[in-house]
Amino acid sequence: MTIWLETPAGHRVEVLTTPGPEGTRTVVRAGGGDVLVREVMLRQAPNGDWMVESGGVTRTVQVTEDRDVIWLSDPGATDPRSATVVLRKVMSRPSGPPADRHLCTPMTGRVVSVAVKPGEQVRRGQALVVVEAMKMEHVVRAPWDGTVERLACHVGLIVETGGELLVLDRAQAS
Amino acid sequence: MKKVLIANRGEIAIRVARACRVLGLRSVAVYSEADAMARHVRKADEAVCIGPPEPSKSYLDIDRVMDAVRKTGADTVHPGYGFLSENTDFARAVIDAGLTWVGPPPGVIGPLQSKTGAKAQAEAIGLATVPGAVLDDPADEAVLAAAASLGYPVIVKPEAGGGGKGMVRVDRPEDLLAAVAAARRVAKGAFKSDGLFLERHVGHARHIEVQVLGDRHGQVTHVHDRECSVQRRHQKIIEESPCTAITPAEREQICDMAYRFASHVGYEGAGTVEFLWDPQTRKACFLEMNTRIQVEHPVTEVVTGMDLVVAQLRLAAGEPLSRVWQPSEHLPRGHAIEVRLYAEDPANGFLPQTGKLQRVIWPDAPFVRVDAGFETGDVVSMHTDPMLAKIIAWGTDRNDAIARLQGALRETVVHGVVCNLPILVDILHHPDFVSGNLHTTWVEEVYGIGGPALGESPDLEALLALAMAGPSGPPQRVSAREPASHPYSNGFVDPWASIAGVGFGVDGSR
Repeated sequence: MTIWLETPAGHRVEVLTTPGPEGTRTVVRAGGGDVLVREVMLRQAPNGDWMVESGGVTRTVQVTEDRDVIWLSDPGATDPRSATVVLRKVMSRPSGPPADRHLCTPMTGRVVSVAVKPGEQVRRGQALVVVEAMKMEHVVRAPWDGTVERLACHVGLIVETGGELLVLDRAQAS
Repeated sequence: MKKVLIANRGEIAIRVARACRVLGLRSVAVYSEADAMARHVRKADEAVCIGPPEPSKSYLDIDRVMDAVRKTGADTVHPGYGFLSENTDFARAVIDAGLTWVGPPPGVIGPLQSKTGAKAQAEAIGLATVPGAVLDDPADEAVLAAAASLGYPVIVKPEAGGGGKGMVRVDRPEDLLAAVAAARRVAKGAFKSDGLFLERHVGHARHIEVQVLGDRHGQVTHVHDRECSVQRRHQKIIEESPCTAITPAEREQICDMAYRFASHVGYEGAGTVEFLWDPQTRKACFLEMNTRIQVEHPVTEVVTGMDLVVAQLRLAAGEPLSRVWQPSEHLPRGHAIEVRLYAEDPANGFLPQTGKLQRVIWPDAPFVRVDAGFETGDVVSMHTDPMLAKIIAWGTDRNDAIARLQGALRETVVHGVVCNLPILVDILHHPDFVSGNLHTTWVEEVYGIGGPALGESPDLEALLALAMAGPSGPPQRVSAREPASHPYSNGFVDPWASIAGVGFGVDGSR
């Protein structure tokens, strides 16, 4: 899957992960996703530390996900002042267990448009709701083909990270 | 003395409970409803709830604390620092109930509560003080005249102050009246007394203080010096022992001043005499005396090998000083530095931060001590002091201690609540700090009132190496989840949607 993170200095990076038997292969791109920054393997140690391997060299970091931010500590950081950084999840595509039908907002913001009505059939990838915050728009798209069962938001509503936007039934065929 | 009630919270309550263990005493914690699961509650032998989250209705409520004493049958009360530690009514209530009060008697605490009163006592035995004036006449002309006679800049200070609250520096006469009015409001709210006084601002002064101990039989000693010049908003954030700015002869002189003052006031228990050191004149001026254990007591403990909290309890029990303190055994050795880790945002005016500490890893390295009030999962609430922990390192010399502290802070992890760790790290690497070229307004001059602009240009390479790591959680839950193919992942299993049940996307998984 792919997520986007914003560094404290405002750089945005795209992180693509592919789990496998050796660990999770992870590719980080910057510059709008065009510049490959690094490719590494991730493994989690039993105590919760993350082992980051690149070219046979492993570094260990501490990572904590807390709502819409990720806290990262790297005791071996070149600059000890940035041994801990807070990365903001800026936007991401839908993910999660397919069984769940509730679509939520990944960030706190204002609903600026709702493109569907209850009962409407939608295709996977179709834009459903747009949330805006800090001059940034996030489009919530349908993660699967289905029917809008219920709307939990309206234009102008302030939604907090993780707040429910709508319930989308899964089409039986998929 | 068998059971000690600790009328405090956070790291100092834990510190006292540990001293009780050393002496084979039972410890009783008190807590507000906000602290029911707090670390100090878990570290004591027994704990009693004393009221709602607001400190005024719990930790500061003498009746509630005394109820807890009766309920648990404690025979001794240790007040820690802050809260009721310098409250004469509380000390009297404890003593009148036939219990042992760990601290000086109310008759000693009372007169030292007034900062101008304490200065008068110091002057009476010939100690130098910072030139100042009591603002007993509230008329504007009188206030302006008092400041003019001292010369600008002046510091406006609350008469019954503490912790830097209400202290304001005024550089120009046109700012004075507004500053005085603001300080009166703060003092009235914080100390229930709006008495103020002025002091001449001593440029680039250093804060030097001396630990003292007194027994119940009239014996007093000093336990050497500390320096606490690294402050923000008049609050100490880094302390060390010994002070490296003074010669051995000057050190002896300052320690002797503290000894004479403590003797003069008939001091009992552990206390601290504070001085302002003017590097221009190389003179120490008496500031005030604190009649409690200080936050920064560990640096003295580390260099002397003296357990000051154990000493407090033994002296309170009536042991003579000669049994508690041996000058030849407790000779200071090497150098100790302490940093105070606060839940506050250094990049945003040092504003206090609250929330749940999602992950905390304290350093565990040789010659490093951690006095922590919090650990993973604990909540920093808006009701109480945001100090998370003190991290102290010892070295054979100052550079050695700095290096050990730098190393310890590298492996310190605090996730979930923004804290002042980056600025502490930056200070420990700053050439001025390393060379010991410090004064009480150094932090503001170097970093600005609003705090440093740290993290503006972080090491991008290091950052991205970190960015690649995923969120943590019990690894077994990855396999516990159905590895279903995902509509947007081209068949990839999505570990971040699975781990800990928290996804990054609009998946509604929470």
